[in-house]
Amino acid sequence: MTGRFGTLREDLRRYHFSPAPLRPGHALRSIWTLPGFQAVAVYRFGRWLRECRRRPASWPLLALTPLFWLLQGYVQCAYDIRLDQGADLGAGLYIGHFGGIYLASCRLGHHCAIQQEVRIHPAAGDAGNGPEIGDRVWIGAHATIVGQHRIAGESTIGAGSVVVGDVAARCLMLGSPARVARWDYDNSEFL
Amino acid sequence: MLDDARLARKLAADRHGPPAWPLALAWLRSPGLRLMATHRLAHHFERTRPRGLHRLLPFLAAKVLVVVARQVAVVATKSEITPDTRFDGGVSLSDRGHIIAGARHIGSGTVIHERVTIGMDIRREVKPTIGREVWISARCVVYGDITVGNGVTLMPRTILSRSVPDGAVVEGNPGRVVGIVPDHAALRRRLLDSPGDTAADLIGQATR
Repeated sequence: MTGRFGTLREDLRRYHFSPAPLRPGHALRSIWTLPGFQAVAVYRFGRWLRECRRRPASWPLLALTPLFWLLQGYVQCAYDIRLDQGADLGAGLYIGHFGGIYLASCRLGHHCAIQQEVRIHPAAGDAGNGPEIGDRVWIGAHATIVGQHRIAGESTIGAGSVVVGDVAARCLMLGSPARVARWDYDNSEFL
Repeated sequence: MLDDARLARKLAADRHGPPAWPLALAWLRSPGLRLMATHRLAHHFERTRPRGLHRLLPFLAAKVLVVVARQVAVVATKSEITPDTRFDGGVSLSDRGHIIAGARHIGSGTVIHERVTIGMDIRREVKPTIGREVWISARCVVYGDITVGNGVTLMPRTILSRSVPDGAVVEGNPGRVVGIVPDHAALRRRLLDSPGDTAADLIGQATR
């Protein structure tokens, strides 16, 4: 339980750009005003319910499942952010804007950032195996990562790029199909 | 704001013949127009302050109304436009929405289709300037410290991060100027009729 809230706190910290410590007021305002954070919070809630299903002691908590469906429906209808429960998203996920986001059956490391219109999911033929993405990857708007590609940590996928193969660590990928625009690209200043 | 409706009417007329609906009903029909209207109001309220204490309460009430209306339009069209973006009169936003826009200035007669992003480069936080009568097709991304000239046409799925001159046709990822044509009207009509065509095909057809 504390671990779950730890992850959520990590997520929330991503939307809080000043170095000042996070106050409860900030947290409340973020929940109210940030569609990206709302979507991630609902996703984490669903994953937590999924863990509850494994432990018989916490089965009474499964009564909250309809609430999860309701919240998930709201996030999908109002913001068009679809974070499938089959996706494994690391702590500290930042979703910049909203609209057209679809993540399914993929693995995302911690401290990643995604923007609007990003699609990360398996190709039509692959049975459930989606992309695997490392830690601290920044994924720009309208980027498409479809199929079993591995993206190593600290790389940057530029706006509108279509990834068609594996990506090495610390690369800047641009274009369609995506090519390496710069090796050893430092994304820490905006991530 | 009236210019927006006039442009919407003109676009509808180009596409389906003269529209049967009067200008005043344009906002009832079009989510894009409502988004534009709420953005203009929000932009206005961002820069004005109430003059005098007796006007404070009506001002706040109006502001709350605008904020709520804007939020409704944002959720209905899945679009977000930063309140500091300056639009000239007569800009069309797509009814299908999914538009994320933050620009310094967008000129009159510009048509923005669905799933378009206009924003800043993540490193240098400077936004683009869009000229007059620009046609931004679906799924385009325009970003960075750039100026898009007057009368430019962006083909679908163009990713543009460099300045382009007046009258250019831009295509590709990364976006490149594929031609400079004097008359874009025929080209844009063809683009709506056959969205799969490349710019080279369309320019060939339009100039023939």
